[in-house]
Amino acid sequence: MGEPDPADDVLIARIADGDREAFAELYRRHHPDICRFAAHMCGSMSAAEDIVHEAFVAVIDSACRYRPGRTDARLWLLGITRNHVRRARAVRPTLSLHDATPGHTPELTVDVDPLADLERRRHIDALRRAVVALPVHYREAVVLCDLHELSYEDAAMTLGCPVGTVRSRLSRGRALLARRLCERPAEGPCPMPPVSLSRTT
Amino acid sequence: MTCRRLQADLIDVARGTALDPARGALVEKHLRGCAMCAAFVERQRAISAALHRLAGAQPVPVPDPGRLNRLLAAFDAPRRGPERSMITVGLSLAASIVIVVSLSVAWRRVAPSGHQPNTMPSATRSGDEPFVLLPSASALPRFEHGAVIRVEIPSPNGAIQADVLVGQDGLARAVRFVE
Repeated sequence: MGEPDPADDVLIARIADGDREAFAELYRRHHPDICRFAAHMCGSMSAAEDIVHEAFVAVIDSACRYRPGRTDARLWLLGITRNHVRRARAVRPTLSLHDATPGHTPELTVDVDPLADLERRRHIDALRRAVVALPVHYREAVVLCDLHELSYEDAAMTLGCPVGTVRSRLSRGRALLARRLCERPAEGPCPMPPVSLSRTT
Repeated sequence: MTCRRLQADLIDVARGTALDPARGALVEKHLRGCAMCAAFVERQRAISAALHRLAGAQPVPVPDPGRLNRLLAAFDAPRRGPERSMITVGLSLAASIVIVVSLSVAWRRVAPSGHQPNTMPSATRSGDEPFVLLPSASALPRFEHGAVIRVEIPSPNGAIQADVLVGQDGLARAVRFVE
């Protein structure tokens, strides 16, 4: 029976001491989650990979400043990545929404109903575009709370703002999302299912 | 209570986030009487479902060995240490010069003609005198090593020269006048 994997805090302490294996392990462990966050934020997997690379370069220098009691390693990494997303956004304001990145194979699906599958993909694509088009403050809240399912408290820690601010940004972001999704001109029907007003009495 | 002020609560209801009981009862009562808010909650439930599908549709990125190798090369490169850019060092030096000017002006006012003030008279006359600690230096990390930078400060009575002791982090620690 092998030894249990070291905790993230231990890995980061070792990185601060110059342990390259610890760095490689932290990268392997958190790359998928961090990369998904960056991809949701910028709408492009190749841009997300660049951002994650820069974020992990920053980890090399920042590891000595990590304080285990103050935050969680995942939130710390998300916070660093978020800062790099914002910087990348300033440099590359227009990002493509689709890439055929090698190494990212699409999910294998069995098309029982190709038309329904096409429609589903179209709706998801419309939603992805709507999320990427949100102002960055609202997008961060939507991506962290709804796509990464972080609690308000964890999102607040990642973004470095009060819980109430996260809640209000999420609320405004989602209201904006609903409006945008149903105002799409000449792109087909609203990707939301029809609303049925079920009134309780 | 207006519908707009309930928006965040309505979104919590749609997301399935628990509200505190009193607030939940208030929102529920409002929803029973407001068709617009009920429709808003239904639409937000649809948004939640769609976002859930979007999260599931994102392929799981696979760490690229090539990128990891490049990161490890960056890891092996000489560390930069605490981030002190040239701008920081320059600003620090500028701040120390301002302090030196202020001290020299104050000193000249205290000792207008021929009188040497009691505070640091000999320090201004001899290059061998000890440095005077700058007020800001007490908050800085311990001095380990550094360099002495000679600066020249213009003044109405002629240029004044001073040595600024700069620490390992590029921040000024102490100063002495030389003439």
